[in-house]
Amino acid sequence: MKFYVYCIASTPVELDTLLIGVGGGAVEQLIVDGLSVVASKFDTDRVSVSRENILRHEAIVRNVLAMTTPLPFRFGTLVTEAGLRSYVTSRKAALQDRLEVVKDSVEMSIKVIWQSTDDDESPATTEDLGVGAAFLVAKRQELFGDERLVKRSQEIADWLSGRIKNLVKKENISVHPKQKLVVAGAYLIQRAIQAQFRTRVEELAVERPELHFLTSGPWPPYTFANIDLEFETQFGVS
Amino acid sequence: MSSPFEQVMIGSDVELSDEAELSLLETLDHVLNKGLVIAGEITISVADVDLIFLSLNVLVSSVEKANEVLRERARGNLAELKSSHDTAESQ
Repeated sequence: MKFYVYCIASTPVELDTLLIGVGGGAVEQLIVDGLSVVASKFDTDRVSVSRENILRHEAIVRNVLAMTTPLPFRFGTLVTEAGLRSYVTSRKAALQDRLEVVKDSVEMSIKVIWQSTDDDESPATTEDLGVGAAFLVAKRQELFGDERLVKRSQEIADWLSGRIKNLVKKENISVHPKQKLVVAGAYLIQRAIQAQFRTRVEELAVERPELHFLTSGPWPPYTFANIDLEFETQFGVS
Repeated sequence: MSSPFEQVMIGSDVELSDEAELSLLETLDHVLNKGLVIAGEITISVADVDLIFLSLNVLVSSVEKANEVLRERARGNLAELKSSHDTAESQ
């Protein structure tokens, strides 16, 4: 029997008794070395990526977030009780440090969609070039991308960071020069300034009407939870 | 703590009609791609991953579609304005 784990909190929490775990198990707390691990028993060895499971996972972490800011586990984490206790015990100091970082904070997300013109996006034409030159141009674009797009997308990312830096404790920015979703940012902010943060984004939207801003949150601090940087894999949905 | 499902917003002049879908995408982005990891203990079924990619495309398409609708609406308003102006002048 394994546990599906949702999050770790610095103190015990009072869970909503109506919560149903991923896979249908009851949601419970395991206290390990003074840290509270929210988990539920899980019968099978694989978690299906379904709407229901995703929403159950998020609902449980969010229930904890209503009381304190936890470190959320990534969806699909199944571990034996012994494995879980070993993990928490061996990494207690790092977990406590990270819990201190996210204390009283939430994560906000900003995605910037670039309403580019044809001129912005079209690659250099190769119609008038010979086969060899066209190949080299195509190869250059493949290897380095369009430098203009890179420069412009980085300018957007820098501008965004500069405009909100006084509101955020930590940020994690990814820049995608060749995509419409050109900048994706996650920001750790104090709970108390959520409204101020949203107002600032609204001001930014007025300042740069050629860009569209998607803001969401407050989220549990998924982006700022991991203490093991080597596991920053990409599933490709950001 | 309120849910982000009610709080996803689009900047500038765009509104998405299906905020629930956008919220699910944001949730997927957070829970699948980020979070605390115990080495070797992620055991998800990837059967639905294609749907996730599909949904992301829907998101971008939705924004473009929303822009089209807004442009159409603006053109419609302009035509309506012009029509009422012409009617007023002819009277």
